[in-house]
Amino acid sequence: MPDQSKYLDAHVLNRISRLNLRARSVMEGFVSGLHKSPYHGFSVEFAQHREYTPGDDLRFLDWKVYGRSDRLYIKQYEQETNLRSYILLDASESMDFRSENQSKFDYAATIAASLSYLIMEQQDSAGLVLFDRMVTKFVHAQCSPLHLKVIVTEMEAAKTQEKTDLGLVLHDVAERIKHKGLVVLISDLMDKPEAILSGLQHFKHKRHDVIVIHVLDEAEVQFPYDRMTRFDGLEGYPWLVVDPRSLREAYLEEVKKFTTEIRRGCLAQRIDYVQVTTDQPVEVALSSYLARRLSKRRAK
Amino acid sequence: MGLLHPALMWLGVAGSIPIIIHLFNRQRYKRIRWAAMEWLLAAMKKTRRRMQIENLILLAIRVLVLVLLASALARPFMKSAMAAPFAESNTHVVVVMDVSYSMDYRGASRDSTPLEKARQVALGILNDLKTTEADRFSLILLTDTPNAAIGEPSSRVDLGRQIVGDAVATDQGTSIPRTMELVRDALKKSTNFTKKVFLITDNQRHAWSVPEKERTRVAELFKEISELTTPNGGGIILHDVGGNVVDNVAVVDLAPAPGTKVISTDRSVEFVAVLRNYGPMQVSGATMNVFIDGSKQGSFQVTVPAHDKVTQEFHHTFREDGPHAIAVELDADALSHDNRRSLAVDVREALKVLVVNGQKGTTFQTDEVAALKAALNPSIDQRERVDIYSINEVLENGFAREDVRKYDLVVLANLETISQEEVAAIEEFVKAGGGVMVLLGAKVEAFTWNQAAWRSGEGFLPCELDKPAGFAGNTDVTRMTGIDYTHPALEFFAKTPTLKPSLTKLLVSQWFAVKVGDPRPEVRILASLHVAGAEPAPLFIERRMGRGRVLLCTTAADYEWGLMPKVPGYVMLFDQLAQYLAAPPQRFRNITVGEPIEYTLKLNEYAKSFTVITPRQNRSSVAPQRAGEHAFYLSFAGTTDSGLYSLERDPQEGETQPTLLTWYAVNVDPEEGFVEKMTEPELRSMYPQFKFTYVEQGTGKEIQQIAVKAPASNVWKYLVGAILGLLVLETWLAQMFGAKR
Repeated sequence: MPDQSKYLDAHVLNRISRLNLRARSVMEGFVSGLHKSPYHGFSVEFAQHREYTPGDDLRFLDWKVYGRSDRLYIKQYEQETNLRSYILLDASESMDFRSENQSKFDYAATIAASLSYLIMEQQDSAGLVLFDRMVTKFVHAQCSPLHLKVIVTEMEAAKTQEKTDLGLVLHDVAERIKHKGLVVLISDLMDKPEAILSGLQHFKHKRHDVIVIHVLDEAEVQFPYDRMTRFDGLEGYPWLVVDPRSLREAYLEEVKKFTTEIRRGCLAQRIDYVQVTTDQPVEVALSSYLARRLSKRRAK
Repeated sequence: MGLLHPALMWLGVAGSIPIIIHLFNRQRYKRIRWAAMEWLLAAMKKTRRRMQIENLILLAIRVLVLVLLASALARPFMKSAMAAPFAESNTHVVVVMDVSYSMDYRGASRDSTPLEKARQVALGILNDLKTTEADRFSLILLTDTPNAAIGEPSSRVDLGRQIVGDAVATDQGTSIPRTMELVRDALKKSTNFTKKVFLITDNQRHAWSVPEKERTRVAELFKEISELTTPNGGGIILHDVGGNVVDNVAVVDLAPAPGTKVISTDRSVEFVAVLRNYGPMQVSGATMNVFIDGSKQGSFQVTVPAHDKVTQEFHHTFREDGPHAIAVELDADALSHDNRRSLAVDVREALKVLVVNGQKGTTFQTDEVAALKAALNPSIDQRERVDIYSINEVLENGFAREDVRKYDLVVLANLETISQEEVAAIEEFVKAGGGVMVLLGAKVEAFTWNQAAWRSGEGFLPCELDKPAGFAGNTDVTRMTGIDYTHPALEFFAKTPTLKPSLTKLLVSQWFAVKVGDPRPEVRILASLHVAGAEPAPLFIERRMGRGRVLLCTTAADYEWGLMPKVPGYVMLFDQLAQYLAAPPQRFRNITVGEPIEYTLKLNEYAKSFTVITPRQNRSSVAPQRAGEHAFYLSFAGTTDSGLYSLERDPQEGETQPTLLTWYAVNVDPEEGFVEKMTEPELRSMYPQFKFTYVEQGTGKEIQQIAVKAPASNVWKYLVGAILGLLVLETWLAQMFGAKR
């Protein structure tokens, strides 16, 4: 256990460490690891042949094949490289909501810390971006035990008191990350779906592997209230006194509509979308997702 | 549309309860910090209108339920023809039938009597009364002691018909105000929707009259009954079944001649009968028969002018003491009930008087009681006994040996002192009904008297004695003043103008000053003496004690303290005072129909059972009731007929015949014989808040109102049905709306 932070739970880490976080697409990296580099030709593990085209580096011509078939083929190699991951953690005021369990931010931070630990265990590098209406903290990806402590410390120091502008933040972060890698967005996604999807598209445009972990409180999903309630809106929303029973149906429709739109948008962009609620144990939520992701990877 | 209980519509305010609960609930909410406001606002925007409509529907239903509930309690009704299909008869009819004796008036044309007409009207009403489950009736027989024959609202029409069919004219008078109290009580017991009162009477003028001081109360009573009956098609229908002829001569009074307080044996007694002609025609040559103890003793031809009264005197000498009955009876006329009048008297052999002489003198002038004895027994004519007193005179020292209970009157004249034993005997005697006259004089030792007989108001003396006052040696005299002529002992003087001045000629020179103190109900001053420059000095002071009376004369009855015996008025004064003190009141033996007979038993009259024999010769057993430690009385309330009632003690051991204790003369109220009618305008003017429909004869037109269906009073049933329907709808809608949510 690298740290005794509240966000690093031994039980969680033990459960998820048995699963490797593998990017679905090949990643380029500086550190050798389990992730395949998109750069062929200078590594040790042969991958495939392809026909020579003018301009190819003649160093990778397979002369043996030329001798046997009088054709020019270029040898391509696969090289496993390190994964550069960035975890984008929403620290807006809405993440401070809790019904009975821990707040969404605490839950999300636990996921973030766990993933960071897992990534670094694989000798990959992990970075952290804290944001609300703008990026409030940008920790570059590194791979060292000390770096995990930095990430955790930053999360613990985060204050959830500002509004969200997720679309803007995603565009900003997408511009800041220069290298392709893994981007994990952990947020309650309290913004316009189109803005969110636009921001995510920006990452995909930069050829990042993107995972969206949508953190919601159970109450936000179930809306279990049955007596007159005053809802004091976070992030500058006004208060509202309503009979929740009369609104429940419409509310759940809104939730479904939103999540469906996000889910479909992610699917279209080949982004993993995972919805978790704070009443679920973090290890269960993460391990089930990672197991699913790994099985997909192996299927390919 | 109207409301039976409009005040209950205030309960409709309860309709605001759901609104208040709604607003209250809006103030009682849980508070939550909420992140997903975007979704909540979107849901709100989407559902707001539908929710508002649903909430409004539920709220409206709940408010409507409460308003309808209040309306149902207020018992709405419809008067329109459209309501007829929903209407059912729900009427309480109070039938008031006059059975006073004036209803028996049968005119010269021999038409039906008013009672026969009233019977037809009442039977018609009962026959037309719908005997549905809801209809009720009450039946009240109108007299001056009205009887609620069926007081509780009943549906037993057969019983009502039987009572009406059997109803006969009583000997009683009429009091509509008193009867209306029963009507009000019956109406208050009623739960019916419509209330009607049918007042069937000959509508005599006097039946409506009440003493002036009661006019307001009666007006309020009539107003209350009007208000009870007016709503919902009810009302008061006054059926006037009386005729327009008032020919009637009645015996309106029969009594001993004024001043006759004691009737004794072997002494001619004068009686006076008063005849009254209520009609507009003079009645000439009518025969008035006189009956003594049931035997006709004579007859007189009398002429009674129109609208006038005449007196007819007659004399009789009783040979036996004890109770006797006198009656006079006129020829039959249109109304027979008031043609006969009776009088019960107790005839005494003599009034037994014990005179205790405190200063025995040798001459008429010096003897303390010589003048008094002469005043009580003035006659020397032996042919006919005129004295009614049997006087036993004893000296002061012989008083203790006398048993005062043997006497009717004890005179204590100028006694120096009186012992406690004598006082005890006197007080027991007075309480049992005896009379005591105390005369003062120079010998009287005030201190001793006060200690024994005054006892700060506890003793028999009416007041505390002070000291002698006045003018010694008859050097000067004063006269009586402040004479209370309304007192029964002195009213004779007021009725006899020739004697009245004689009282003020009585001259008194000395008297005993007394301290009467604060007024007491049992003490009354009959007359005082004029004292120059000072308050009048009380002269005759009466104190009632038990059933008897004590009269204190603060001066002497002889010549020592004045010149009273010299004046003729002295004789009449002391005769009247003595008769008053000694004679049992006759008036208790002569009562009006409906008044109870009450008789206090003497010690030697006690038995376990007694019998009252009515004029119809019905015998009713009466048991004695305890009135005190050694006192018993008899009470009989069934004096429904006029005439003579005898009270007998049932035969005791060793007796074969009952013992006649006394007679009671029960007479009709003579006013009832005056059958002049009250006109409708007069009645409306007299009681403007008495709302009634006047029907001169029972034509049946008004009776048909009974048959008319009452307004739809059962609207409340439909309202309750609607409420239940709304409650079911509300439950269903609430579940449906809730399921949607």
